[in-house]
Amino acid sequence: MHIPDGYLSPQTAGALWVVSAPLWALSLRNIRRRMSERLVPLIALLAAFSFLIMMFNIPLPGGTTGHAAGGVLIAILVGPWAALMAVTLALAVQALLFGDGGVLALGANAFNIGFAMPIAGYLVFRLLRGAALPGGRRFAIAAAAGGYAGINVAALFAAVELGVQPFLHRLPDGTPLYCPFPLDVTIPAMMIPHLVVAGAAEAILTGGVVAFLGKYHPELFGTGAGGPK
Amino acid sequence: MKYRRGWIVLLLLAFLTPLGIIAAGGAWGEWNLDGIKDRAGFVPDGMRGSAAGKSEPPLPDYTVPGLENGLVREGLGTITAAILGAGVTALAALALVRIKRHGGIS
Repeated sequence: MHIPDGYLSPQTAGALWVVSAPLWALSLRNIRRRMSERLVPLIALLAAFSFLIMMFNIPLPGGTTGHAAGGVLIAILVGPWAALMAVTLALAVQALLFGDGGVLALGANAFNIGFAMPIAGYLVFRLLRGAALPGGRRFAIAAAAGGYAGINVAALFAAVELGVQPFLHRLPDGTPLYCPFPLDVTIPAMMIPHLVVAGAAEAILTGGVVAFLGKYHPELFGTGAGGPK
Repeated sequence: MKYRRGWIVLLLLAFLTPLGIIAAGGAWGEWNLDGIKDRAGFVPDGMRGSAAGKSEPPLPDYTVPGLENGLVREGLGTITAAILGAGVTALAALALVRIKRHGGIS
């Protein structure tokens, strides 16, 4: 799901930088204004967690691999705005130091994995959570469902961004200039493995960690579960 | 240190990262030019141009120079990359948030 450079046209990659940049600004503003000082080291810890969890590749149907990203878990703990910053930093280090995901494509990857995933998963979590409290079964199940939804939303965005390339950019003879696979290839190729396996992994990670922390460290959810409004 | 147990868990995760590179095959849509050629039958011009202008990252694919060959060395390389990457990520987060909070790193 880390789109490398070359798969998106410079126009698409640039457009997604333009979309992501103001979101990063909002994220920083939100962290600065609304979050207590004691959460700052927690955000750093969660950013490092996101970096590490993405290194655990699991085999997916179709012979490819995928991994959880932790974005929804982070959003449940510290809110989707802080999750955006934590995941964006993990993605930036992956791209710049390790060549995992493109540098030009960082705007796209940050939008998909840092913004769309945490916000979608967080909304599902909030919706299903109702009035449930940390430590309860419903709270953890809502978190798991949020994780499942979040990673699949991110995968869908990535699939669409890749799949529109052959329609947007081609040579006069019709040869694609960038990602050569159209939507009817990218969407099933991305979505089937994510709906079946990677989504389950993200659900287990999100629900499992939330269940554990809800039981032993419910105080962590003081701000996060309420979320920055 | 705040969240000491959390950092210990992360350190454990970092030591387990070699497990994460066992899975065969790469992610869909993250192939290099050879991989694209195998699957699409050709390398699109725009991708070729982008690959030509691309500089090698310092530690490509989470490998560390000198720790590439052999299972044990490769595993140690992955762990080193994991600790380094997670550390840089955490420090970047601390720096960014503190700059924004206080107008300077505190």
